[in-house]
Amino acid sequence: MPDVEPNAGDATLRTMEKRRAKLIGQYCLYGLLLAPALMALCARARADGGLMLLHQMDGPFVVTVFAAPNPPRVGPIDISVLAQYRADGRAALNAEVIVRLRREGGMTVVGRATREASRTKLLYSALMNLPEAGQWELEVTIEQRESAARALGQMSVAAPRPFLLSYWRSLSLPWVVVTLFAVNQWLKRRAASRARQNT
Amino acid sequence: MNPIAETIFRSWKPGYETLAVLLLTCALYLRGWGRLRRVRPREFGVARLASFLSGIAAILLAIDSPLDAFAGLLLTAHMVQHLLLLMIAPPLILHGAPYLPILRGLPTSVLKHGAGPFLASPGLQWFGRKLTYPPVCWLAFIIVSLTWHAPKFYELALRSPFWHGVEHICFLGAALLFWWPVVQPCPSRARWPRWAMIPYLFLADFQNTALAAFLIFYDRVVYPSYAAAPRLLNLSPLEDQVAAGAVMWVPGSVAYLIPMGLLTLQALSSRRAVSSSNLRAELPVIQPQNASTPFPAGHPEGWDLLSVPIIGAALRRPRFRRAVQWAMIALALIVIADGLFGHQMGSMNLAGTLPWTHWRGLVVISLLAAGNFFCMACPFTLARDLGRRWLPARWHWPKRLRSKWLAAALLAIYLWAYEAFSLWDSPWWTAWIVIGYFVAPFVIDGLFRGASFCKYVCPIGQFNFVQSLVSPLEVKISNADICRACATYDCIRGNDTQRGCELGLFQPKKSGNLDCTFCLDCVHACPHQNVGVIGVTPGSQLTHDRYRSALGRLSQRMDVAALVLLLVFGAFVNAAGMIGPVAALERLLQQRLGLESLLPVTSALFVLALLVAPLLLVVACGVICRALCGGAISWKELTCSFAIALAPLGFSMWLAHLAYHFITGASVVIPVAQRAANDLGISLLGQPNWPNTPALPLLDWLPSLQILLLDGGLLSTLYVCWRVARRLSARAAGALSLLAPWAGLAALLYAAGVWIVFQPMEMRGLTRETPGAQACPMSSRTPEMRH
Repeated sequence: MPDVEPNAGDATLRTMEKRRAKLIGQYCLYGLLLAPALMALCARARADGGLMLLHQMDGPFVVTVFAAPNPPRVGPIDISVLAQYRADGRAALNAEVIVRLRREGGMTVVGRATREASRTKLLYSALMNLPEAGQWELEVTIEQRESAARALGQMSVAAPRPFLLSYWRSLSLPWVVVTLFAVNQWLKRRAASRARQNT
Repeated sequence: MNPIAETIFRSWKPGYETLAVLLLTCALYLRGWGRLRRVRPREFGVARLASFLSGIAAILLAIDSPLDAFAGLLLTAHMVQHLLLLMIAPPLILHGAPYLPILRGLPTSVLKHGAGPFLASPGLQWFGRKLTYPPVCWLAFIIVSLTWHAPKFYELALRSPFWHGVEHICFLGAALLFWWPVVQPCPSRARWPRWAMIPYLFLADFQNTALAAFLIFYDRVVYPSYAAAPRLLNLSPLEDQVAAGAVMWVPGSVAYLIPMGLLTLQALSSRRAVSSSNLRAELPVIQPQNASTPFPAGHPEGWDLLSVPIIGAALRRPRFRRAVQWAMIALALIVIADGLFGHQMGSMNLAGTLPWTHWRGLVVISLLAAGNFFCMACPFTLARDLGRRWLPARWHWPKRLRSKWLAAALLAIYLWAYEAFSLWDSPWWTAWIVIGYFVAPFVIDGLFRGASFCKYVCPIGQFNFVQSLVSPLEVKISNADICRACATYDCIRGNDTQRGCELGLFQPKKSGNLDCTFCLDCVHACPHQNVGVIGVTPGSQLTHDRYRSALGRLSQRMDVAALVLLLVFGAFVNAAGMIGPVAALERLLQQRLGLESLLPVTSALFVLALLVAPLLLVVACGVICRALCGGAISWKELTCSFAIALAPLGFSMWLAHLAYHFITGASVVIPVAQRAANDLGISLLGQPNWPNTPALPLLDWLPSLQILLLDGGLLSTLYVCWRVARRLSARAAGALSLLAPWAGLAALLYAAGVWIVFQPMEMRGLTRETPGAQACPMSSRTPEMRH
């Protein structure tokens, strides 16, 4: 062990305190960085309006149905429903909303739409997985105490997007980084050769 | 509060990508601001920090608040959103003088080697000067503002979340440019006299007023989407349009008038102007090429996990490790019991879920986030200790077997057995594997000295050793000077109270995590407390070829290269074994060959994919590489050096695969544990409710995450390959030639990984089929759903 000077303990203590303060600061920063990653893991696909499919009046309600993505494609589709009272246009907040999608062949996909699943909390959303492209019949039923409404319509579902288009951002990342790295190296070399010329 | 209003205010939608970028920016700014404030408290006061953070908050308010949620239904909400992005956030951010704090907040090496060459580039400096020239800024702002308010483009943004995002980026970018000459953020210099900013702002306000007046006085709805949208606040579409125009006119104009007033006052006050110029003169104008030089050096000492309160204290206690090992032993015994005597369907048995879904997922996640902590908590250590106590443990491990060849062979056999016998779906076999794992270390370490089992045999250990090469933590010394003065070498020899490293790793010469079990014996043995669990740049130890304690030079270790290659290709083969097209191919081959069992087909494909293909590819790369470098370097050195560089890519595939199973199947442990407890007559956990197991949402973000992991693996591998190539060749052109074949191999593996990610996978262990939330093949998930 190296020799210890007198009063070195105070200095060590100060260094430790300083280091601890620095560590706490670092933890806060790491927390800031970690938060979005955790949020990403907890994130849920939520409906957010999109293409307006239906706008109908039935019973005491005015029913508007949206679908996202626009156009709807095979795979998960957000169906969002806005139920408004016909009398005053207020949004109905405590209704039971069921969405049914029927294919001509008889296949039916059913989902309960909730406000919790929606980003726009006035809307009721359901995430439905549609396996086939083509024309689907859409039926939305809304029930609230004694009142009920039903909206019917059609939804055209397109084929899924090629995955290269769907994930182009993630897939292009290596190209972007490699290009930036190449430019970085080129700039470094150029700066070095200039420095050599100057000297 | 009115329930409708309350509901509207609850409509926040955290867009994690935006949030990640903003939080990262804030973190960098805070770090840099803290450092700058210590040396220049006057220039970087709290006001600057508050201004910057307010600007970021304004962006968040615009993008993540109910304003965005209702932007598609109400033009007024949309207009307020634009106002925040154009008029409020940019000047606040620029007033925070973000340039220096953000640069100062970057890690020194990133600033110097990453950003430095760009900042020093004359071409980019010229571009920056032109871009911040006031007429250019003004024109950019006006063009962007007018273009995006044109009905065609506005409708495009309303229809497509992607274009809506582009619109916001354009607004923010153009507004930052526009406000740049007005705010003149430190340390930039004014290109025009300050008074010239008054007409500059006035002309912009004129454009804003004209646009607002058009919206107010036009007698038809300009944007058809709002005409069709349901009315929420008893506002007709035209009334909504008028309200939006009023928002644009009044608060918008105020946003121009305030700086105009301030600039007028500033121009009239000569004293203020002088002091301002003095302040600017005091500040050093940081020339980008010297951006790194004025800053003091970063943190020379690494961050030590052992210095963290609670965690560090726990890790320093040997009893803590023993407690964790006992907990793992308890879990292992539960797995064995349920595997042997429980329900024999894999997804309903703890032996079918805990080891294959949870343990593997958690191991790779901990390797990514920290290091080889499974070996630290290894339950088989108890068997080793018992073996040493009850058996002689006096022989040395045979010299011929002192390499990684045996471990590599065992690993290959294990990977084959996993595919051939569907181990994940066989609780009974899983239980016997765990039992075998207790017996093997008992016998081996009971007969041979040292940690022969861990170092030369254990397939799990070899997996962890190799993957932890890219972990951010490493057991290493803090201060080399203390080791130079040390004469006792307790870290390897041990002392009266603590044994030294059983794997023969001498800390001063140890480099990287290869062969390190994180047992922390060296930490406890070191009398100077000079060994810690230090933070390192992940993968940095792969780039050099210095002598490593107990390993030598990795460029001469063919066995280590073979082990790494096995794990790299094994990652892709293991994932491919779970996808539909491979299963279909196996069935097709079985039919064509008229075989009764799939085993020969699976085995043949496995040998082809894990042994033959890698061998051919690696030999080809080595031969091409050697030819390109003119035969100056041996084939062995080239192959070993570059093969190890592939480790990050292999790890990313393991992570993408195993983390996927963990994330999608983690909740299944609840009914499985309930079932196991009920079988034992314990009703405390309740009855398993299989059909009503909480349904997971459709994880549309998971493929994106998997691709991002593969991106990270590919980029790390390419970088390590580049560094290896630079090490082997003094000339850049020569290095590029050496790099080319290996970069091609890495790209090929990456493409294979991406293809695998998009194939329908067997969703083993998932019981979450509920109406409206069905599991779907990953290929049908689209990222646009998130918007």
